[in-house]
Amino acid sequence: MDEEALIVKAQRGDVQAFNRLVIIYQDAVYNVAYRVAGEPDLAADATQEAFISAFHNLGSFKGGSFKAWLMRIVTNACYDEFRRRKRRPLSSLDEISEINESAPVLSSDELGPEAHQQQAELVAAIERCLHDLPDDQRVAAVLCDVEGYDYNEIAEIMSTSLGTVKSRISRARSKLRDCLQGMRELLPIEYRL
Amino acid sequence: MLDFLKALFRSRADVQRERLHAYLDNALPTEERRQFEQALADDSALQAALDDLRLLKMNLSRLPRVRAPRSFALNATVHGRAAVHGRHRPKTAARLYPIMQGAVALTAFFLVLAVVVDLSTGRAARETAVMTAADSPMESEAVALMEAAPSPAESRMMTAPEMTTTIEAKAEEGEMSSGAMFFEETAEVVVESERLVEEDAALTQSAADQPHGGVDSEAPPPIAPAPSAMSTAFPEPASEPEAALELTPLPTLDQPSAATPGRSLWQTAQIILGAILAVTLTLTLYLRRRL
Repeated sequence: MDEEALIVKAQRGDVQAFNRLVIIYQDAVYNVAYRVAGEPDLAADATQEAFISAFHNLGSFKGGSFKAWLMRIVTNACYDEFRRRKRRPLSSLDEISEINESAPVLSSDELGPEAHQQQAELVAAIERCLHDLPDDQRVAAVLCDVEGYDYNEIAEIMSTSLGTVKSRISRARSKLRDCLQGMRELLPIEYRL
Repeated sequence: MLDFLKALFRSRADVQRERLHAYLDNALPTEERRQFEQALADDSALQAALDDLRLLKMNLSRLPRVRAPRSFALNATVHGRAAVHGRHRPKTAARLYPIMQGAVALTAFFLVLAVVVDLSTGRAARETAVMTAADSPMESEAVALMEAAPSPAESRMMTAPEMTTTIEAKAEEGEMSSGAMFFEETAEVVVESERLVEEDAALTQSAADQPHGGVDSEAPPPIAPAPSAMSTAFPEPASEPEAALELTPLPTLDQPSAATPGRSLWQTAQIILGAILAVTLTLTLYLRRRL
């Protein structure tokens, strides 16, 4: 059954049809929540709340990209989680490593151990710098550079204007670049900015 | 509004930076892209900044994908939470909604049909009445002359010569025909009838003046009205003077005809169908909100 038919059935209250959509999109939704929230537990809560909210408000989906519609819901759920709990700042790279080990990663097995370690250090550094960004800039950077959405899609997801999206992305990247340049000694040479 | 104000207070450096990032994301318009590429060719620092951004973007895009730690499908507990929020009866509403849609459409169709039939029936009745009036010119003239003739109340006030004069004067204003002659003879009958009534009254008075008890005295029988030209020409004698002037009123265009009793039935049907349409439409809108 294609996605459109599943959506129509789910809009009529068919939970099984909606769960098939959940299975299709839960990895993508969790990824965004994880990159925005920075914590696995908080990301899981935001993802679950996002799918519950999506089921409640299926009637408001009038067509277009269902994935983009879900992304809007999960970013709002992340904002709600931020407000609901205090975000614990990450104080050391050891904590980042522990977080990364707890989250199953879909990584390539082609890398050797040393390359794998280097990649892990880079990922940790990027994640730390991402966590230091303001919420709206972090969301814009994740949607643009991690998930690959274009400016118009990001404006729709974040319910803001194109100019605001451009501004947030440029400021986020500038801060990320400055943050990574401050950690260049920790990064492999080929990854140093 | 805030975006407009922010745009006003953006520095030149901010504008340049945004343009750099937009170029990296292929989000610049064609003309701006061409201009920026010319600036890139002339500015090595700008080219270096673009290279740094390109590396950063690549690193961000290569962040490993994280698998969902568990299934987020809605289970009974979660669905129960959804039911609490009022979504536990979508199936009933989903089943009834298309049925109500069909009911609204059907009711609207029959209502329109009833209105069309009612209008066409009413038009036919009016056309029939017009044709009936056009086919009987004598009757139409009689109606016109009847309108010209004084009313029975007025005729009681007038004497016979006065009434005759009135009729003659009004008839002279229009065309005279057999109808006018008919009214002339009618006036003569009225005059004759008045004379007879006066004689009857006189006889009655004289009978009343005679002493009572006289068994031998007999009241003379009332004088029957003498036969006149009217009774021979018109076989239906009038019992009262005023009755001769009274004609059966012809149905006018404004009066409802008794020949179309089914018209009120269509109006009743319209009212009933309209009520049904209102109810079904309300239910349909309610079910739509529930879905």
